[in-house]
Amino acid sequence: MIKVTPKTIGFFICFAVFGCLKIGIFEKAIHLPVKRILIPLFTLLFLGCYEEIIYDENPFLIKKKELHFQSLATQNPVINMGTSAYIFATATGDSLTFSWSVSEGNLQTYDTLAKFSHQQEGFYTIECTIADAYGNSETRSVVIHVTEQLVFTGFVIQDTIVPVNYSIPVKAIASGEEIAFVWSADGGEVTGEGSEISFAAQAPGMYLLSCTVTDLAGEEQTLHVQIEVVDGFVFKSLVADPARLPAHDNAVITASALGENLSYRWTCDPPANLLGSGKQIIFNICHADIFTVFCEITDDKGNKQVKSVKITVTDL
Amino acid sequence: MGNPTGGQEQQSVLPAKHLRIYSFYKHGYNDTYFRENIRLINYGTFSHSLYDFAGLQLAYGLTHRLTLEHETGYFLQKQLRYNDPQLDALTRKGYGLSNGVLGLHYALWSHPRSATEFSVAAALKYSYQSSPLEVDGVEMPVELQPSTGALGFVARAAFVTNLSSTGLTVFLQHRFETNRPNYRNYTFGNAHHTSLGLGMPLQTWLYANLQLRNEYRSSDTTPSAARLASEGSNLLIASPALSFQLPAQFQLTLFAELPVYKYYFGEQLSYQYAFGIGFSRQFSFLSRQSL
Repeated sequence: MIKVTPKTIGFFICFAVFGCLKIGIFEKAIHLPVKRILIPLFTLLFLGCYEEIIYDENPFLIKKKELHFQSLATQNPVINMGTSAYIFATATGDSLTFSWSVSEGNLQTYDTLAKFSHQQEGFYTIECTIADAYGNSETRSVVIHVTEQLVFTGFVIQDTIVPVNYSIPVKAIASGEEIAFVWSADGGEVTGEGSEISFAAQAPGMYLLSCTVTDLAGEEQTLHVQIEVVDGFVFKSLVADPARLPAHDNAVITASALGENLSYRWTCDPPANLLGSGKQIIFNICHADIFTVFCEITDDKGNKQVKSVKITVTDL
Repeated sequence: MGNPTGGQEQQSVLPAKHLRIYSFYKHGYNDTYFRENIRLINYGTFSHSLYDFAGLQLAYGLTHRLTLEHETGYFLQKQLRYNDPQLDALTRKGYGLSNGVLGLHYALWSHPRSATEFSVAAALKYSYQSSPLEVDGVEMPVELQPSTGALGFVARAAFVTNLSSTGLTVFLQHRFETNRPNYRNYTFGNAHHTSLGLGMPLQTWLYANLQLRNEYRSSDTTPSAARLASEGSNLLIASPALSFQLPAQFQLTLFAELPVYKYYFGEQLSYQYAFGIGFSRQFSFLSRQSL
């Protein structure tokens, strides 16, 4: 940042013209009525010369993201020997680097993703360390159980409350030797086969979706998941990231909803700058306050739902 | 926030049964942040803002001392642009009807021979909108709203005189605007405009006008008393104008506004310039007998 004194070029020009007019250098060239107007005008322009601060780099374009290690998760906390567990690291920050480690076993890493397998039964701790450009780091770990038994961990499902006719993908997480999946439901429709299927129902109600997993030895395990099917659409969540930020920074606000032909309406109290449209917008404001951002979702049948999220903006 | 000034304000009351119509277009532009009276270069969230405004002012002489006045307008566009290209790509334009101002203008004292008059005016400022402007389902920020969305009050006092020896017209006017909280409980700051103007005929068909205006605005407020986008300002603006007498009693006015001194409370994008063009005409509804 360079601080400049108020002696700008404009200052000198105005001062010079003002001086020339006063001492009469332009006496012959300028008629008296014109001079009478020019003298006060250049006096005002003289007033209009300002002190300046010149920034080498606009401070509002320097966006420093704090390191935020959001999660270290796996869909396969229990695996069979010979199969793999996938571990995902989720984080935000500037120029992040990911370091993975495990005491034994086979670990392959691809930045935010690690693939682990082992030929010996046991519990294995996999660590992930994330570091940012400013020297900050954070470490988290996850334990993977390796076994010879048939393992049916559970389901991966986006949501258990879904709209009518909405096809929701469901994945069974299981491992074992040559396992087979058999799906059934007490209503609705199951499409697909294997570990991943889709479920949809034409009428509102509670539905029980079951999956039986059988391995080569004939051992079998069955798990159930209850899915609620509702009329209209499902407004799952409204999330601001971050929900607390300094003035002039941006927050990304995301509305998650299940349904077809949805339209989004965004308002804020007190008013702020909301940029973009649709299911994701950017929030920005130049002063501190607590803001409530409202998102109203409407479907083509006129169904409406509103959610709000609070954003705290602090002074720089 | 208020209706942009139109370069040719009505300083004196109209004769009875006369109607004056003045419509104008104005373009205004702001850039460069100011912190108090320090210019901040390469600084700030916003790169610039601008507006295009079409205004309409109507005045009708009810009696020889009392004139009914109404002003309104439409923002063809209001833009607020960001320095960050990612945000700038997402920004949208505001538009719509501005506030209406309906009031009475009364000549307290007048001396027709010297064309000298001291008058006062009081007006109600109202909004055509009861909810904020939304574009593509997203509420526009305060800066891009076309009106205050609230009731307000406007008071004015004006002194105008003609220096017959030189043909110069001199006027001094003060205008005060105050606003009530709007639908978001957001209150726009009060505004004091003090104008000193000189008008001079250059030809029979050409009239020059130079106005020097001080615009003082106090900060906007919300119930949480947080700092706000508009924290108030104190500006000194030079506004030259040229008026041409056209056939059929039409008058064409070209005007510009240049701030000669700027002081902003807090840090704000500053006013750079404005220019515009206006047309006016006065109609008489006096019967031939009364003429």
